[in-house]
Amino acid sequence: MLYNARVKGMGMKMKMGMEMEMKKLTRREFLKALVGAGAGLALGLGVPLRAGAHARAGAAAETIRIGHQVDLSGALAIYGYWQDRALRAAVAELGEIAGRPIELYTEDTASSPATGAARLRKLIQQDRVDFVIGSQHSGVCKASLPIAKELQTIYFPLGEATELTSKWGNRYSFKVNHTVRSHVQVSYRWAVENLGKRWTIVVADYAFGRSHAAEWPPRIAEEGGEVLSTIAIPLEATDFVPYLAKIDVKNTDVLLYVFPGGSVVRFIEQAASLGILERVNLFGVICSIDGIDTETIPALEGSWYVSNHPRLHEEVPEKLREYDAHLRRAVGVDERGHELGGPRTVTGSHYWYAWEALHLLKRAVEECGWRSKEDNPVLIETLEGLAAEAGYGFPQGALFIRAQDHQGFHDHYIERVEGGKLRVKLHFPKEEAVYPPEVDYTKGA
Amino acid sequence: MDLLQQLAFQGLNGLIWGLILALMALGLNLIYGVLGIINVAHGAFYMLGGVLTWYLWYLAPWGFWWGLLLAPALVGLLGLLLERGVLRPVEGRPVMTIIVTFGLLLLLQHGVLLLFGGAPRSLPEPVRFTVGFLGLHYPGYRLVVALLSVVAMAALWLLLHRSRLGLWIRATAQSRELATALGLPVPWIYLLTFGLGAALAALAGALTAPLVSVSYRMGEEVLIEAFIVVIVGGLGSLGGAALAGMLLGVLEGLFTVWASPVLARVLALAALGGALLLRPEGLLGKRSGSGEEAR
Repeated sequence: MLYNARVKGMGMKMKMGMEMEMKKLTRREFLKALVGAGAGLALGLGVPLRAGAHARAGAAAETIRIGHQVDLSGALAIYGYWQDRALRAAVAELGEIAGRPIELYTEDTASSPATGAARLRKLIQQDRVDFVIGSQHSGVCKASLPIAKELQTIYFPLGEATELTSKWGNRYSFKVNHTVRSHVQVSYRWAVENLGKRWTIVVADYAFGRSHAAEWPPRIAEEGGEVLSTIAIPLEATDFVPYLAKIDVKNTDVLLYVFPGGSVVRFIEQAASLGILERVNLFGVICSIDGIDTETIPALEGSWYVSNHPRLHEEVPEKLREYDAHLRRAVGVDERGHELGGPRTVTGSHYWYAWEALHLLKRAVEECGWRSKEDNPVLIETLEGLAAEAGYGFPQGALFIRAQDHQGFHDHYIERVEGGKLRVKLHFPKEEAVYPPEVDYTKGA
Repeated sequence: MDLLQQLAFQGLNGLIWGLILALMALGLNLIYGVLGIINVAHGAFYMLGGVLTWYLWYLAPWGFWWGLLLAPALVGLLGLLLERGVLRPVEGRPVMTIIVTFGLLLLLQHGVLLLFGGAPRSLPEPVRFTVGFLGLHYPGYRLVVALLSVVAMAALWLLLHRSRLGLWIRATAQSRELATALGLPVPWIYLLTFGLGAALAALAGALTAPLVSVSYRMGEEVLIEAFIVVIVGGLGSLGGAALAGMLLGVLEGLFTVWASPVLARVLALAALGGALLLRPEGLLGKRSGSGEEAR
């Protein structure tokens, strides 16, 4: 019994000892965890991710807040880089809208629809922006349009899928840049007549590419051509050889490729190494090589593109040259389309979108006397049908926004890579880009 | 291309990717087998291999070849530091290692995003030639990749089976307690094994850099496939990992002849999933389920 009592006693002491041990460890560990978490939080908040670079021009209550939902990383990063620069340059130059200083809020979409949509919410709900200039990524735009409508914020999607101003659009969205349908419409006749009747179409497998995959075949058939096959490649694909091997090179006259972003260099090189490019006419929308230095890729020689604005200053139409020079100076691009003091090539056909969107917004706001989001209905009516002439604010040329679908129309070009440089071969006035509207937002929705 | 040509072409392409996957999976498996770490940051090591190689290509003539040597070495060194500094407290507790290495992955990815930028970049293939067979022209650099992968795997096998360090690594993988009891410097073995695994991932990244776009996220897709390969091959079984990697690659390549490459991947993964149902321990895994044996 004594023995038992002693053991029990020892047991209790041990138990208490262990508990104290455990308590000591628990507290110590808790403190460690607290410090660790604090450090982690500080690190997390302190790390300047690409997103959230705020340019505040004095946070007075009178400012107008512009949100920029831009693709600064991921597949379309080269587009985002230039849109960001162009918009910052426009903000720097304008400084104010209706006498109120502009505050710019920038968020990175990471070229992902999910991320882009979340960042849009942040811009509108947290940063309380009045207007948003949107992403170049049609998938991000698609995800964002319902949010813009829900949060009643005017949104300028810079993507190009046709559906952005038909099936997916709404009263709050306005597009200063063309849709895929315009690109197809201005160029398909010329292309079938001059490049060939048998086409293979290669597109990036997301909203933008799929819009092309839907728009081209009926038009090609109209001209007596045929599409042998359509190959969809994920935007993030890294090895193109499995896709390229599916092209029926023997029977293809025209290889149409719609593949924006940095990976296209890889695509072209792999196509060249498989001997494909020697045997077909390579035709693309400018989105496939914008931002890419054509002089460094011999395989691009002789390829054709339907574009929105010449990359080389000397190819810009005479009456626009002064405005084009001004834009280049403001954004930091030289006459050949190269970044001043940097390695990049400008997305010459695209970077004016954000610049012109801001100028258009300024004009509309000042015209209708918009003061807050409550005045949005009036602003929307002002934007509907708004036209602008070529000028410093509109260096790409005259532009008009169609009232029914809020879709903008502007001039286009056919360019060809010759001697490594993009040369203008044809110039289509904006009237040729117009097609019947599929919706009518003036009636609500 | 006729059917035979297509099969040969896509099959060969698949095999090459399979070899790269096998390299990744070997590193992953080695780390798990010896240290009990499920290394989610493996994709980041792959990415670092690609990014460092890009930098070396950008900065120096013959830069790519330097990259092939230096990138694995540097990343291996990083692996040593990380093992000693960050991972040691959680070794042997797989769930914790997932969390910790995931944190490492995020840190490394965003570090690269800060320095390298968000836009994907390319570097050209270091050698340009095509090899003709069956009336096809196959890009020569890919064959170089295949060759170098096989050389790396052979070197790994030699290290593991013909060197003392390899013996120690295998012993530690079998039983850490016994190894310690026998006087093996287990902490050093852990250190070197992790570094070796990281270096293998970086080598895979360096080799594929000219074939893909180099970006801060380039490791994500490969990582998932590498994990699948490791499980299907048998957790802890190096031979199984290599086999499963090549199998996945070849299957995907062959399916591409009839389906789109995206669907082909789905089908290939489904096939591997089926294999796992039939042999849950993995193709060459041990049924006894200790899961710690590295072959």
